[in-house]
Amino acid sequence: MRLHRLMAPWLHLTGTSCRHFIDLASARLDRPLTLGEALRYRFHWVICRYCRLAGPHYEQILEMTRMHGDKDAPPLRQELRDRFATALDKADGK
Amino acid sequence: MDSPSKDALIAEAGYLVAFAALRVGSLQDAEDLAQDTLVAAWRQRDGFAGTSSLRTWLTGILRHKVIDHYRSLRRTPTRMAVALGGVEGQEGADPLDALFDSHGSWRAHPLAQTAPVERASREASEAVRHCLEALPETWRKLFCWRVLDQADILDAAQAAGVTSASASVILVRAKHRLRLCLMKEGFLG
Repeated sequence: MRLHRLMAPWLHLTGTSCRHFIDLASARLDRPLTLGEALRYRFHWVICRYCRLAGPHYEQILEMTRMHGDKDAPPLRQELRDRFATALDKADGK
Repeated sequence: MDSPSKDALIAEAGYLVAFAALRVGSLQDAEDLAQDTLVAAWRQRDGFAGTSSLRTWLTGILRHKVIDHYRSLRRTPTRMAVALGGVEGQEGADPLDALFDSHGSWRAHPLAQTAPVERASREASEAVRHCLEALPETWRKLFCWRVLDQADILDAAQAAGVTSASASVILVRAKHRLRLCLMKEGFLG
């Protein structure tokens, strides 16, 4: 980590800082990285053990969102249930 | 295949309201959209082939209603600005700024502050919804369209009312904020 700190200005200048890395780790789930981006991603992945987890974490987040995002809807309020039933009855009349 | 009964449609209404609320942000709009969906489904009930589940069929109708809702918002710029809560969905300063120093290195890596714990599926479900709801509205809409509805980035950007260039940036920020939120809840490690 100390070496990482010493290298920080250079990493920043070359687009291989931690911040650049997490942007790339996120972007690679939306689109293919360019060759330059892929090289910068791989370089930072090698030198920074903390950031290495970002990619798996983002994949896990997408998986958790797909699995749980639309589940466990709260129960419908009685007033809303009645409103919907009335709307369906009205639709019958047309 | 028998057409669905009114009771069967209303039994799915809670799911439809939650589905719409996550995408439009306003509970009132979500309830209106769910009602429109149920009425449209009831009128077209003979068209339900039963090849997919009732929920899938209703969700397909609702998805179109949500897109129409955004089209109508875009035709009234004032409502759109209110719904988006800011220009291009930027919603204030970049939250990532506080996490990195001027060289783009972590000030304090989030992993140093949290520890993952074993959690039940229901807790995971609640945590995901909590973290999604904590996102700024435009970010949540965009993220849901992209991840839950698997829209391509252009369609997701259009549905959320942002440019595709902004959408890429917002998606990065949204994922990162979700990461921090889920780590704080003890789900990532």
